[in-house]
Amino acid sequence: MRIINVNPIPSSIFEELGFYWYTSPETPNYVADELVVITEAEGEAYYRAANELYDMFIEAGQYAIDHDLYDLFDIPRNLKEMIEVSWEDESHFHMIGRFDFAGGVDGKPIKLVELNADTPSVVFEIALIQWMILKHNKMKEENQFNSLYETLKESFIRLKRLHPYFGKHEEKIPRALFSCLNYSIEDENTTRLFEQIAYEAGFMTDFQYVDKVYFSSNEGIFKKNGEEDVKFDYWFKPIPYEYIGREEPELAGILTDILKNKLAILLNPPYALLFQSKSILKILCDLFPGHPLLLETDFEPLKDKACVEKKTLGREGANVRILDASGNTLLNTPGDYETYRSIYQEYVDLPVDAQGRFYQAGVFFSYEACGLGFRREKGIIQDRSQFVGHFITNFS
Amino acid sequence: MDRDNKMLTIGGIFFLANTLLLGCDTSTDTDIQKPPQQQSDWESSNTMAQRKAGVITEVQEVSPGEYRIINEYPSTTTGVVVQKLDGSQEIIPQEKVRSLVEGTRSTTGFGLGTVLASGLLGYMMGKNTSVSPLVYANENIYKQSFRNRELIDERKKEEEKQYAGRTGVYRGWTNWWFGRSSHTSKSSSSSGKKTGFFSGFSGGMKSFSG
Repeated sequence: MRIINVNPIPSSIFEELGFYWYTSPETPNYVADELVVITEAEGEAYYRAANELYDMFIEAGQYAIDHDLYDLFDIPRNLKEMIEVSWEDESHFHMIGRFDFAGGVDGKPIKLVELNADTPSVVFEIALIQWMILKHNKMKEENQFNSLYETLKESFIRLKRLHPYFGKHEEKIPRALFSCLNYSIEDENTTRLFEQIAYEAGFMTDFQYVDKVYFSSNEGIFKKNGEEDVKFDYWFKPIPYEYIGREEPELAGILTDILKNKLAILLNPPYALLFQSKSILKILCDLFPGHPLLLETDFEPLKDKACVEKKTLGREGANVRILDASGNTLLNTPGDYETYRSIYQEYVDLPVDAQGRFYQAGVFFSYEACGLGFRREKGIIQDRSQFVGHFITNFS
Repeated sequence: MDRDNKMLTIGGIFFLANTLLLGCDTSTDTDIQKPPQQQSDWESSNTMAQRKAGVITEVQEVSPGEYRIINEYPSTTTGVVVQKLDGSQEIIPQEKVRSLVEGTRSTTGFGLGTVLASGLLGYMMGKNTSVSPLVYANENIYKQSFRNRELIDERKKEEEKQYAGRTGVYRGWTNWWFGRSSHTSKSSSSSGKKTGFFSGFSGGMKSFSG
């Protein structure tokens, strides 16, 4: 790993921009004052990998629907209809996902770890913060693979074009509501950033916490502004669909009706959950056996091979267990996802620096691959692992 | 065009971040605890910033001293990027934009202040009531400005409704991120719309995202 030191950005500037997560007391150094140095060829390989894999995920998603694999994917049955309605209609555009990769530097081949397809984090960091580090250190912005903000803006414009009504009425302004629960600063950072991108892309936007949003099967999604109910054409909500299905089944039913009645578009679309469930990693292996970007994956521990046990709908590195070739536990993390099915993915060494920290690459995808960044940790990469930006050398 | 400042014209938050980083460069104290002074002056004196609505404008110098708008969109930040004839670039932060536009007397000609006053920025500042097609580099950008004007009008109307009746001065979008609202219990409104979902949900998680 080639790492270079950079001058850190004063935390007050992050706060001015609305990025608060970084300054939390548990994670005083969330943004690393170093950058990972990669070559242009390595950067391009990450992008090609993400683009190729996304097409494979679409095939695997179709396979899951055709073979009714919801139980295998741990997807609540009450989400099946909304997943299929969104899958069949191109106006339900998949706004954003993040591929996590092992390898890609130090001569190690790129391998897919997973796709965070439903509610990916690290958007602020990859879109803005690593760019700010370059600026602050008088480095050129072209030395980074990072068009995330611009691509998301284009995706919002594309979303409007794909809409059954707004696509035909260019002069009309669609309304998008941005919501999250009112206790997660990290999710609120992301939600507010998306609101800003949509506004700049020409949407009327507003923000409301989820518990204050109004829903109706026959009328759609609303926010109360004084006495007036304002209707929204899009609803962005970084709340996992499986939580909606399990915790608020009534809402799942209303949202299904809203989609069937074409009253609103949800972001991300419900079918993102098919890509989010790690069961799809096994389907990918079945559909594309021996593919160089895939790690062998099964629902049983791999025979005579070190592997990583993960839960189908586990997040943030929780409930992860590393097993050696004999099946002994080498490392594990706690979590709240025990009830989900396990998948076992072939173990592969992550690139490591001189201090023994492992690096995982994240590549965002929104219609195309569009932004690269790294997380690092001495053990298993998780929610609070440090964010590390990147710098590309030999850029002509 | 200087490729290295491309992002400043892509999103208002990049423009704002750049301004904040420049303020930090000129300071002797690297860990600035307060916002740059000009920022708070602007915010307290200008309703445009208080209303959260701004405009990012990119102009091209087409002949010496004459400019056309080549990119323009409503944002939460106001700023101007000038692409000069000699290939250099001038970045004008929001606190300087106002005097540039306010100082404009004439609506003829294509001087920088006039062009800005005739576009969406001038519309927001009350310098014009209909944007002029002449100051745009092409018809598409001009047409887009019509839609953007409606967007700004709508946005202003709703924000006025939303903030009417609240105490305190609204000081830009980042300042109201953490105004927490209280829980509502799940209930049906008179029109049959349901609300209050996830109101009792506090799963102890820091975040849902991964």
